[in-house]
Amino acid sequence: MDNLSDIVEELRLGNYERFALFYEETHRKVFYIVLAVLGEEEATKDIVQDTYVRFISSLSRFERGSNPYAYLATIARNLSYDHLEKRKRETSFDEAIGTEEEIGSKVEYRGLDEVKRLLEPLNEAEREIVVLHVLDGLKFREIAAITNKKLSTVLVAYNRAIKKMRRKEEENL
Amino acid sequence: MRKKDIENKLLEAASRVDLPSDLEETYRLVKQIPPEVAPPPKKKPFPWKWAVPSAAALSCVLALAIVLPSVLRNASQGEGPGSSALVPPTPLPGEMTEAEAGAISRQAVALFALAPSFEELSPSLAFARRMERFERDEEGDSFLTLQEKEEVANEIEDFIYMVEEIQTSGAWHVAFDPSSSLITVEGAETFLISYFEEVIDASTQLFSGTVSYEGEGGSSYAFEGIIETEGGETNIKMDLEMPGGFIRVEQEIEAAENEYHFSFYEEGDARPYREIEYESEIEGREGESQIEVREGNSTVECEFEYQPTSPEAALGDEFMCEYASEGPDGELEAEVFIAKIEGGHSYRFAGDGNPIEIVR
Repeated sequence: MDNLSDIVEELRLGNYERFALFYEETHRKVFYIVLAVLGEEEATKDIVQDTYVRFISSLSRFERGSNPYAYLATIARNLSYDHLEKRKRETSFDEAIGTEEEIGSKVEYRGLDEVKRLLEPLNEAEREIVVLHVLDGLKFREIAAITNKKLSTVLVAYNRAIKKMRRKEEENL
Repeated sequence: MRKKDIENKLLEAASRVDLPSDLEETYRLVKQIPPEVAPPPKKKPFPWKWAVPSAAALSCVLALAIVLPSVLRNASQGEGPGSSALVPPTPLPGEMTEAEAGAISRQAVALFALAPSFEELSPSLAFARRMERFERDEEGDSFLTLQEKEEVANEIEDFIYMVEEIQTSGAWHVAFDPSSSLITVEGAETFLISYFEEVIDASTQLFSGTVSYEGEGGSSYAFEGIIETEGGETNIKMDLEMPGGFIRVEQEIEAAENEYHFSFYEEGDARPYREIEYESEIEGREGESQIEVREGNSTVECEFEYQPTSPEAALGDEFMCEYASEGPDGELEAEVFIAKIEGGHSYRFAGDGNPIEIVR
């Protein structure tokens, strides 16, 4: 497998031939981060797309030698929270004036219900940590840095989350 | 249901999701972004891709087995980051039990032992890598050439050494206090493991610290991890910091079972480039130990069946091994009866009366 850091160095130079490889290696993970923050698939497609555009346009701020995927995850997370904020503001406004409009593209993802069902017992912060660790393979200290939390906080939340998921699954057996 | 079960369930569910690629549209947008002006630094090749496993110290990728003696050699040469002596972390008061501290300490030494192999190709997979496509009939083993049998026997000998080392590590002497452990191997070589630990709840603790070889020119590595104990089962997950990556061990300990999973990660890669799995189970007078190494498109696997005299006993005087090796261009399986001889083992392949002797 090509090393992501090598590909990122080429992307810095505007050599986008290997962007497809970078995208294929990462887009599922980016999707799950966005899903973890939003809690639903609505608007994920647009945010994932924006994440890559923002990543490429801010590569000058990416520190060489660090984990490019952690940087990508940070961008995806920030854009997702921006989106939530925006949606809150617009929902309040729509409620005030009595209209409601859907934000973002609506796409159906086959098989996603099972993932959502497994994550359902978790709150937003727990969901995010579980996704970043289990689905995205990030280390706890990377997650602590991305989420601006203490390592111990992340570990406590993770363990609590896993216990909740396990309990729910055992109830369903 | 264990923690790993729920993690695997989520991973499997996520991998089944039909996620359409939006590459085309994303690429169209990305292409419009002007490139950064500054030139990139020179690429740093992965050292392990070109490193030649030359000396005996480098020849022990896989093994605690090989690993441990080589560690002791390497340590005395001052290899590893922070070899000029790391300052031990200031211990925090905690409630780590002696058994938990012992388990963490043994794992720290195991990871330490694997550290010299971080930047090397695994010689244990060398045979699988260069293997040509073998044509075998149902009695495949009898068609192995003498040279092939010798290669197989040599690889199994390495695995025996590793399995015995892991099994007997339970007998290492661990001197324990609330903030550190001192492990003595074979009565002479000593490792100091210092750790912070933090109680999360009754069953979970996170820890970080350093493992240091206490001999001349001793080297140190930093680690961090989490230990969970629940219903007679202990799970440990520990990462040892390497320059440019880390080695992770995940261990499950149950009454009669023991599982280790070592993974080697390059910085920035979400997937490991090498994995070593070890699993051992003893039931009554029957023991089974399985070890598997995977790297790239090559895999080698050994399954030992033996009659242990104690939980910490090695494989014994006579035992059996099912060996399987698979490379990009071929695969090979063999069933071998093994007997201990002075300084090594005698290998008798199924369907062949002539044993091969390997002396370490």
